[in-house]
Amino acid sequence: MTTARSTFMLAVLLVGLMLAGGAFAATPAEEQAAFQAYFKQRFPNVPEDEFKNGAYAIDPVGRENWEAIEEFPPYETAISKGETLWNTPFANGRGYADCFADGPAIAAQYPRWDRERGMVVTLPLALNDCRQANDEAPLKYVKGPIADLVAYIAYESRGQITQVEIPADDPRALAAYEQGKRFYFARRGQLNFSCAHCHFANSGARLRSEVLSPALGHTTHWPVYRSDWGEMGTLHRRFAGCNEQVRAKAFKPQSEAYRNLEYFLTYLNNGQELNGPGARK
Amino acid sequence: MTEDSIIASRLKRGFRNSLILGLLAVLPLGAAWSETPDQSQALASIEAAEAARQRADSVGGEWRDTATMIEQAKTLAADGRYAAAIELANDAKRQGELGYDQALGEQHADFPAYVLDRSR
Repeated sequence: MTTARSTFMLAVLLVGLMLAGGAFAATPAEEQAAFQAYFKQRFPNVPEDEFKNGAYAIDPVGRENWEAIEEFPPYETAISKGETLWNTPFANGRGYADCFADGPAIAAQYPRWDRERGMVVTLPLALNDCRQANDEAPLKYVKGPIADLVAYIAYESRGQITQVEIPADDPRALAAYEQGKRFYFARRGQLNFSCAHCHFANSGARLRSEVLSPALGHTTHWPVYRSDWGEMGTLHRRFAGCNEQVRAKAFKPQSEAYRNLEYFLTYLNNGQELNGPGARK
Repeated sequence: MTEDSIIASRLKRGFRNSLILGLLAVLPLGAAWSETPDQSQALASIEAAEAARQRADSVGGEWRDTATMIEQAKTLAADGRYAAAIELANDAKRQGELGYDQALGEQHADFPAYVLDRSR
């Protein structure tokens, strides 16, 4: 009798634990599904393949201006310069094509988890790895030649689909995703804002004259020519700018924090078409 | 006691009281004078602010303007404006403390419940 009661209690406890575990945990795939469903529900009139256009998918007036700008895209010069850089051999006679056999249309391969190095590798980081492997000085990460190179690669990769993978057999990859997630949702700076405060429930609202863009579509169109910058800039330049806008100290471009953030955010955007480089206000 | 001596006595007492009141009024001024901050106090405040900034930075919680405020406090101290330097350094120190607490408090930041309700 006692044994039967003990077995029953144990079974109840196990079922309870399983239910609790199921209730609180979510896989990255479940989080991605919840994320995408949220924005599709929030903007029911925006076709799924429009989110890649950011605020211009939800702001008709802004879109009209943007379409006019796209008739003579301000990023064209960057694409040309990037193509020249891609095709110019290094001092040792080799070039980017020797590092990236599938190049230049390789944007959808990044960011990716590098099992050997145990870290997230982004496209700008991979380009500099290539340069350094060929005894070339690394490029600075926020603007200039690196933005030109990535603009050319992005242009050649247009139409590719975001497909970031989190390998199930390497827990370090999941840890990087989790770190990126915590960064995204953490309040920071003197204004005490997280990324989500602007780009989730307030997406579509106005911040002075600007319409806050939804997080779905945020990783599709980089690098970007921002009118505010008057030049091209990388995704990590934008991360830093957002951090400073909430009066937090920005992290260094290509720091572990920003690479993991990019990994998390791009994974959530899986399925979105790449359409970089872009033009934004 | 004659009327003259009574008047003289009252005048004397009035003078004494005025003197006491005057001294009482001046005493706080003297205390304030003795509390005018000096260079060592300003440098100590700046050092404390820098320690708080570094502590916040160690957990990724430093705020944008804290380092600039500390640099400005150093400039003020170098110009001999110790009171202003201390005030600014104390503000920077407070920023460091708040940034540190903020970062620790956000260690488990997660999807908002309106996107992903983990209680269901």
